Amino acid sequence: MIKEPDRLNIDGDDDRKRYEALKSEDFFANMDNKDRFMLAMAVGFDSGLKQPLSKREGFFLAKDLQKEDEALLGAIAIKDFGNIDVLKEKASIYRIAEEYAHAGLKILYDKILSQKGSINKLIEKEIYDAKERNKKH
Amino acid sequence: MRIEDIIIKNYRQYRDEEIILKKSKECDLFIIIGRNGTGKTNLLNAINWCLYYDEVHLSRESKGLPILNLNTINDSKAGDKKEVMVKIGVSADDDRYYSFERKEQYLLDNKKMPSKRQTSFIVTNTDVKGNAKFIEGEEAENYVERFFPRGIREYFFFDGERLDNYFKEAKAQNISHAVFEISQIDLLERISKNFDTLSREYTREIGKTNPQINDTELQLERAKSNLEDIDRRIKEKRDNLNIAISEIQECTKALADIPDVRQLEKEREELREASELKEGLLEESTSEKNELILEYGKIVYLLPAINNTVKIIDDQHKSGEIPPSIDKDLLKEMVNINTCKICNRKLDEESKQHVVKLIEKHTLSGETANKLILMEGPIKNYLNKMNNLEKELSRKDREIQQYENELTSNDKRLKAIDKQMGAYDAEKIKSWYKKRDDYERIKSEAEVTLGRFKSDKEKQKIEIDKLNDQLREDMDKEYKAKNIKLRIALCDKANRIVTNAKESIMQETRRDIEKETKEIFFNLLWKKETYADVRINVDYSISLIHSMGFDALGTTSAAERELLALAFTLALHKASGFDCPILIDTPLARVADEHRENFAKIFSAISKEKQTILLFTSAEYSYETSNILDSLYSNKYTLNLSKNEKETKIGE
Repeated sequence: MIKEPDRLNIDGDDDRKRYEALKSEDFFANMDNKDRFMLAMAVGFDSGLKQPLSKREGFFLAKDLQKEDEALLGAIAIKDFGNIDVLKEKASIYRIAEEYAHAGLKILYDKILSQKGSINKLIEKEIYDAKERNKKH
Repeated sequence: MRIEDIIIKNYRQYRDEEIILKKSKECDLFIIIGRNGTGKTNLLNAINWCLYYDEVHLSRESKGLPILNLNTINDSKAGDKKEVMVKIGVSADDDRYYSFERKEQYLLDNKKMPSKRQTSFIVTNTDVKGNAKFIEGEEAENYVERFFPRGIREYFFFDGERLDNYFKEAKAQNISHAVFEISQIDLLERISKNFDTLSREYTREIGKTNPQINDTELQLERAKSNLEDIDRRIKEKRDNLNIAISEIQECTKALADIPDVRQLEKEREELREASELKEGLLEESTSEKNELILEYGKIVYLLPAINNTVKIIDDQHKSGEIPPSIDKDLLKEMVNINTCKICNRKLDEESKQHVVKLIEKHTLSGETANKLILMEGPIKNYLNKMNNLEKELSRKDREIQQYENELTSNDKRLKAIDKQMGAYDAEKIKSWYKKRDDYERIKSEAEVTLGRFKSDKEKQKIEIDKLNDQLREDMDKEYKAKNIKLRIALCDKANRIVTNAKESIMQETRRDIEKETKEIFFNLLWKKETYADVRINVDYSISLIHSMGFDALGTTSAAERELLALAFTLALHKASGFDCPILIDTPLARVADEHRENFAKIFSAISKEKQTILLFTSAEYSYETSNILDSLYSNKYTLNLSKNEKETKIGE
C-alpha cells in the first residue's frame, strides 16, 4: 500500500523566496503558509497553468488542511484528471495542487513586482475579473 | 501765578543749572527735551524736593544714588562741606515775586560719602519796589500750601503715565479724593471729628456715674471701630475689584481678534486621539477585508472546478451511485474467489452472473463514492458562501471608506489648526488667558467678599443703632446726666449740620468739576460727534456717554481716555481756584502717533490760559508734535548728559 503523503511541497529555494517576498506585502502578511499556497494554487488553476516541481521541499503539513481545503483540492484534481477515480489517490491530488501552486506563485509574484500601486487593489481587481470570466461556468 | 525760573545746584544730575521761563509768545509754553536717563523726571523731583521735601518720582536707579551731584563729590576732598540747593521763583497775581528755596548741607567723610548736616527752607516775598521779606518755618510751609497745595500737587506736577492710568484704577476713589481736596473741607472734617470726640467724652462722663452706660458706650465705640474697619476693608476690596476689572478688560481687548489657543490645543489633542482610534479600526477592517478577499478569491478562481464537482455529485445522486448501496470492491472480490463473503457459500454460475451484473450496474467504487459524499457538504457550501461573501465585502468597503473619510477630515482640520496657531505666539496668548482667568478669580472673590462685607456693614449699623437706642434709654433713666445729655444732643446735632454741609460742598464741587471737565473735554476733543456727555456721578464714578446713550469709558481709546483725564485735571485746576502752572513729564509716551498732533494742539490751547511746561523724550517730540509746537513755544531747552554720565547740562 502506497504511503499517503503527510505534507504539501514547493519547488525548493526559488518558491520559498517568492513566498517570503509575498509575506512583505500587507495583503499576505497575516496569512499562514497554507493560505498563501491555496491562493497561489487557485491563481494557477484559473490561469490554466501548472508546472512540475524540480526540487520538492515541504511547505506545510497535510494535517493543517481543513475538510473544506481537502474538498477544493479534490475538486481541482477531478477537473484536471477528468475522472473521479483520482480521488482514491491522495498523492496525485496533492501533486496536481502543488503543480498549480508552483505556476500560480510565479504569476502572483510577477504581478506584484510590476505593480506600482496598492497590492490589495490589484488582487481585488484580479478576483473580480476572474468572477466575470467564470460566471458562465 | 507762574514759575519764572528754576535754579538747581548739586541736585542729582544738575550741578549748576538755571531754567528761565519767561513768556515771550501768546502761548505760555515751555518745552524741555531729553533722552531717557538725562534727568527729565529728576527735574520734576527737584520741584517736589524744593516745595515738599520729598521725591515721589524717583527711579529705582536714582534711589541708590546720593542726592548730592556725583561730579561735585568727585571733585571734592574728604571733610568738604557741599550744598544741594533748589530755588523756584514765582510771580503771583499780587505783582509780588516769591522764591522758594531749599538747601541741604552735606559733609563728605574720609571715603567721600556725603552725610546730611542741615536743611533749610526759606520763602522770600519781594514786592514791586524790591523790598524782600524772608519767611521760614511753618509760615514758609503755609506759603507752599497757599501756592502749591500738597494735597493736589499731583494735578499740577505729574508723570504722563498718570493720564493713562487715571481712569483705570479705582476711579471713584480717585475722583472722590480729588473733590475732597479741592473742596478744602478738611476743616469741616476736623470739626466733625471733634464733635464726635466731644460727644463720646460726655457719654463716658455719664458712664462714670452709671457703669451700664459706660459699658454700652464701650460697646458702641467698639462697634463704631468695627464699622470703620469694615469700611476700610470695603475700600480695599473695591480697589482690588476695579483693578481686576481693568486688567480683564485689557486682556480681553488684547485677545479680541486672536483665536482661543487653549481651545484649539484641546481640539487638536482630541482630533489626534480620534484619528489614532480610527487608524486602529481601519487597520482591523482592512485585515478583515483581506481575509474575506482570500476566501472569496479561492472560490472565484476555482469556480469551474467547484461547479464541475457539484454536477458530478448531483449526477451520482440521480443515478443512485451515491450514497453507495453496495460495496463494489467486495463484490469484485467475491467473483475472484468464487465465494460469497457474507455467507461463505461457493457461488454457482447463476449467482456469479448475478454478482457480475451488479458490478456492471454500479460504476462507482465504494471508496470514491464515500469521498464524494465527504466533499459534497463543503463544496456546495462554497457556492452558498460566495453570495454572502460579496455582501460582506461591500459592507467592509463601506466601513473602510467611512474610516478613511473621517481620517481625511480630521487631518484637514488638524492642518487648519496648525496653520492658525502657527501665526501666533501660543505661549504668550496662553499667558494672557491665564492672566485673565486669574483676574476673573480675583474679581469673583472680591465680589463675594464685598457682598459679605456689605452685609457685615449693615449688621454693624443695626448693632450701632441698637446700642445708640440702648444708650439713650439708659441715659434717659439717668437723671443726673440731664445736662450732659443736652450737651451730647447739641454735639450730635452740630455734627450732623457739619456733615451735611461737608457733603453739600462736596456735591457742589463735584458738579462744578463735572461742568468744567465736560466743557474742556468737548472743546479739546477732535471727534465732535461721537460723545454726548461727561458725568461725574453722585458716587464719584465717571461716565463718558456715547452719542448712542451707553457709557463708553471702558471701550474708549487710550488717547480719548487720556484726554478725559487731562480735561478732569484742568477742571480741578479751575475749581480749586489755584492758578498753578502745569508740568507734565513724558506727556505723549503712551499716545499713539496718529493722536500726537491732536495732543500737541491741545497743549498749545491750554498754554494760552495757563503756564504749561512739558518734558519730552526725543522720540515723543516727533514730527507730528514739533510741527505744531515749534512755532508756539516761548522757549525750548534740551538736556545733555555729560560723557561720564554724572552731570546734565541744560541748553537752549
